[in-house]
Amino acid sequence: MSLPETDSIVPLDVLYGTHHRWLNGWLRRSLGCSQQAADLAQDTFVRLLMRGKPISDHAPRALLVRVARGLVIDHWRRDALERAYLDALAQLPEASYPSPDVRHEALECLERIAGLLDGLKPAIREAFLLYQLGGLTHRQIAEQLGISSRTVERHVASALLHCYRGCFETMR
Amino acid sequence: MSTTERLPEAIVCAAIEWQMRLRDQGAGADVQEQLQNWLQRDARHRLAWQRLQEMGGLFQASRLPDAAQTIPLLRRAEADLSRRRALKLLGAGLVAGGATMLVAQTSPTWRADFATATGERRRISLGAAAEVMLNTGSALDVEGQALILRAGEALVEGVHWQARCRFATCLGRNASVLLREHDGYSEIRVQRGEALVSTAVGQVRLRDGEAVGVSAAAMTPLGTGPVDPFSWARGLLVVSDIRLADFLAEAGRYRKGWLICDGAVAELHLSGVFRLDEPEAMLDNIAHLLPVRIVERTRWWVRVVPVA
Repeated sequence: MSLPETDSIVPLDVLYGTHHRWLNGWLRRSLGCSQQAADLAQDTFVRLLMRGKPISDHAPRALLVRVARGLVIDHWRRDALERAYLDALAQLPEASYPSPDVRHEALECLERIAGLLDGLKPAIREAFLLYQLGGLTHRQIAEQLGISSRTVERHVASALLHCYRGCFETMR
Repeated sequence: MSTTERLPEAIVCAAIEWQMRLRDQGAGADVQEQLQNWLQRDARHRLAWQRLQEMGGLFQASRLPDAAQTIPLLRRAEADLSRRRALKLLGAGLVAGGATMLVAQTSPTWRADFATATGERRRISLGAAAEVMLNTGSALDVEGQALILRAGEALVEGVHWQARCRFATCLGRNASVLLREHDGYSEIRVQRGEALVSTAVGQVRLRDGEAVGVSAAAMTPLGTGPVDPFSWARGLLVVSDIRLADFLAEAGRYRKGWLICDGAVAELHLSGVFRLDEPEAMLDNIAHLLPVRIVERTRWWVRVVPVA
């Protein structure tokens, strides 16, 4: 990435010194919890450090917010899945609870899948879930969703491409 | 062949088409043969194919609950997440505006759900009229000038406000009032000032320190229990001479997962001040205060048992 000449590059420690408090405040307002805000502020800088790209002094806060917002959404996704999973488990008789290890791994799988599906339009997402997890055929999905078989095919193909890109083409 | 190699989109799409064809039409000999030909033709075809298989594995992980559970679960979590995202956009607006924005003034019919996750607390400013502190696992709607507590607990404070909970409506004037939904009844407790509580079974005026529990059929005055009802708004759990089982039930509201109290230690009593932002430290403290041991299978599956 080439930077415009008028921008100069900010070392990460300077960025940290100048904006860490501000970012922390921003996150605290978003999350309503100072502990989580502090954790995610830290994670934001770690993410930038690992990314290893130069940071321009043009609008550094916009960059921080972009990275932090992604982390907040990851955090909320984990949280939402955890609650949904716990609720699903609560329906089971105690004897058939999966072991803690299995639960932990299941949650990680769910998180991975939900992360991959992120950004899909609801109709596409729904068709894909029925196809990939439900094992339904295009025709069955078409009937269930009241759309044409051809549309289901298009939805599934575009969801697969979306997931492929998420798996193999983004550096997170 | 590098594992990070970026493939042309046309190849990825072709591989996807092959995969769908194979699944929908079955692996007949002719389809198999055509696929093999396609794979033979180019190393990038094989890479795309291999990556798709790898990706498919993610969805077949044996550790996943079965599809009948997983699909609704993913739907629910997604709905939850998009609701919070919508709220967050609002949050971004607040930041852009600098000071706390007076939401009610933007539009008189403005309406939104505010919600907190487990362990989260949130301060919501509703203009000059009222400010709300939302406790863990709570949901609040704002309809015009009225606040509606849908779940959990809220501390409402302001010069002039109206708040509804499941079994009552509460009018506050220069008052700070706590509303909390329990199983089967709503608790309304005045911290400061005066509030008029209207219910299906009548009206009552409450002053500093007074509280009522309102169910569908009755309104009963409430005393003060072993938990300081207002301390959560300062980020603290303050208890005096509380049964351990009751303490864990209260502390469990701020923590994800199950917090289980062994019957053998349920009747132990404790007093103390705990920080809500540090639920794990809270558990460690109990182990110091009482002859109990914390058995932590995962961070959301915790049992409190007697010291062996």
